[in-house]
Amino acid sequence: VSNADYELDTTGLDNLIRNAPQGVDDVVNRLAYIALGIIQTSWSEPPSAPGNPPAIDTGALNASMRVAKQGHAHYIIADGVEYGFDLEMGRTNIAPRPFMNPAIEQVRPMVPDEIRRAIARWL
Amino acid sequence: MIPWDDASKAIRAHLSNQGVWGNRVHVTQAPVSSKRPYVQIFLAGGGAANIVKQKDASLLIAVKVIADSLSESLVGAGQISDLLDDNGEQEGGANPVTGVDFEISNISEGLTISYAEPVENARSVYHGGAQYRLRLEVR
Repeated sequence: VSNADYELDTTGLDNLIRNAPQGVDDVVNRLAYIALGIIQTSWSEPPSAPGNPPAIDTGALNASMRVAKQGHAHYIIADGVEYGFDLEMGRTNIAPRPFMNPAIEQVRPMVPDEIRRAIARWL
Repeated sequence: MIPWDDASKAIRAHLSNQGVWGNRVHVTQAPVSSKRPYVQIFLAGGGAANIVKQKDASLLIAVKVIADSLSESLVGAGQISDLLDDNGEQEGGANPVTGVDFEISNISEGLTISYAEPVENARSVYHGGAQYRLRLEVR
């Protein structure tokens, strides 16, 4: 029976543990701003058709769009006008013109690749 | 047919005369004259899924009842859930939501929709339902 010595190199793991917390926050921040960019370039030509993003009228909705940090790796995309929700979800006299959900749906498939790339950077 | 067209028609047919809304099931836009309660179906997002090497899609579809009372909107939302959630063609139900050109393989309920809309004379109209994730694959 022979003895064998094993050496475990934990450099990559240590880097991952050290970098992951801030890295995850960075990834979510980046994705939130990508979604915001999609929203702000998705407005319809006037007049907007029901089911499509609204058209720019006064520009107040577009100007009010923002990303806000809520906590670690937790960001929200919000509008600052009263009628934003009505446009997204509809009212009895306003057909829905979703502009938030379609952007989130576009960003959702990007998440695995963004995380994969980030982990490669952290190691 | 495109996935959204197929899916919306399938949901409309599946819900018609199956709940408090009767046959009043509207896609994207409800006529102003529509009597409440009625159902409104609209595309909240999504598109090609590109998971398999043929046409497929992952769609987020909002389905809600618009009613004059909170209780009716809640009953309607429950009926929609019973009719749609986990009732895709690959989910083993006896009466699945069935597409024409696309197989609607899975339907998963997501975020709840519930809000009151103030209307004239200090009254409110109630919107209740949910977002549903549909997975579709061309037949």
